[in-house]
Amino acid sequence: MVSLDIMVVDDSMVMRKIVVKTLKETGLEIGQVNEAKNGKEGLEKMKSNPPDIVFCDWNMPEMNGIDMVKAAREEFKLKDIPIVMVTTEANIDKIKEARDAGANGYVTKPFTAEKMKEKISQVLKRIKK
Amino acid sequence: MAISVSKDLIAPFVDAVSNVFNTMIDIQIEKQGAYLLEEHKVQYDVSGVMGITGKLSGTIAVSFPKKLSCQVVSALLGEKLETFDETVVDGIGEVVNMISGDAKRLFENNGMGFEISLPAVVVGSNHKISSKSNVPHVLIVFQTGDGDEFAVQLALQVEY
Repeated sequence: MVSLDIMVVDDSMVMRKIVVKTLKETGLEIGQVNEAKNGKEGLEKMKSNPPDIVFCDWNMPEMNGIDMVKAAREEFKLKDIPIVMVTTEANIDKIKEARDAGANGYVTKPFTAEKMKEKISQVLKRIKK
Repeated sequence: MAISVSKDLIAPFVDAVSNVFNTMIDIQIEKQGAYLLEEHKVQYDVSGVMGITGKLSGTIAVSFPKKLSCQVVSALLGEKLETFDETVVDGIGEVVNMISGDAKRLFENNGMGFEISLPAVVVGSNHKISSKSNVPHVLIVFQTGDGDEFAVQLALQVEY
């Protein structure tokens, strides 16, 4: 199985650890793990070391997740990297906003490994097509 | 005095706490009761606090004694944390974030939307969370299977 280099963007260090732990529990083969504490840092790290997939919170200081997604979609190197929102925002309008911004998937907090696995499978299937 | 009024304000937070604990924090909990803050003595060491604005506005705090806060964040991470340090503080911020976010989802289902701030965490024995004095300060107390208590403190008003 090919391993995926991942990036986790969240202002909470604990949540970044939880996302990585949960991804390992899904059985996903994880390669390099990169972390960022806000959208600005996430964007910079994506540019210098493009990951295979990004998991991104919405509400963060300095640059929120949606602005990071929009900025990534403007960059040639980053526009095709799958980005999954991992956020407490569960409103249907927010989900639509994320999709319109260019996010490929959406997981609401709190989440289980099963829910995460289901969302990742959907995202990766769509990317393969 | 137990709260019988404002069940509509309390129930989503009770459900949100249950959902977060059932999903991500493997610690058995049970709601013990809801009280007006001035009638129930509280002594907690750490609180995650969030402000909310919209049809519902005010503050939400989730408060823990030190030992239980370490256990909660340990359960979240799946690793034992022996010391009350910045990891625990960060984790409590995420706990209040998830509880507030899940409550927001439940309120939105009933047409009462609001926005939530970024979480802040207050650390200190016997600290007090103060907010607007003209709104009732409600305390929802939960108990773990080991008998430890934590609480959700609400100071909320509905904008009509």
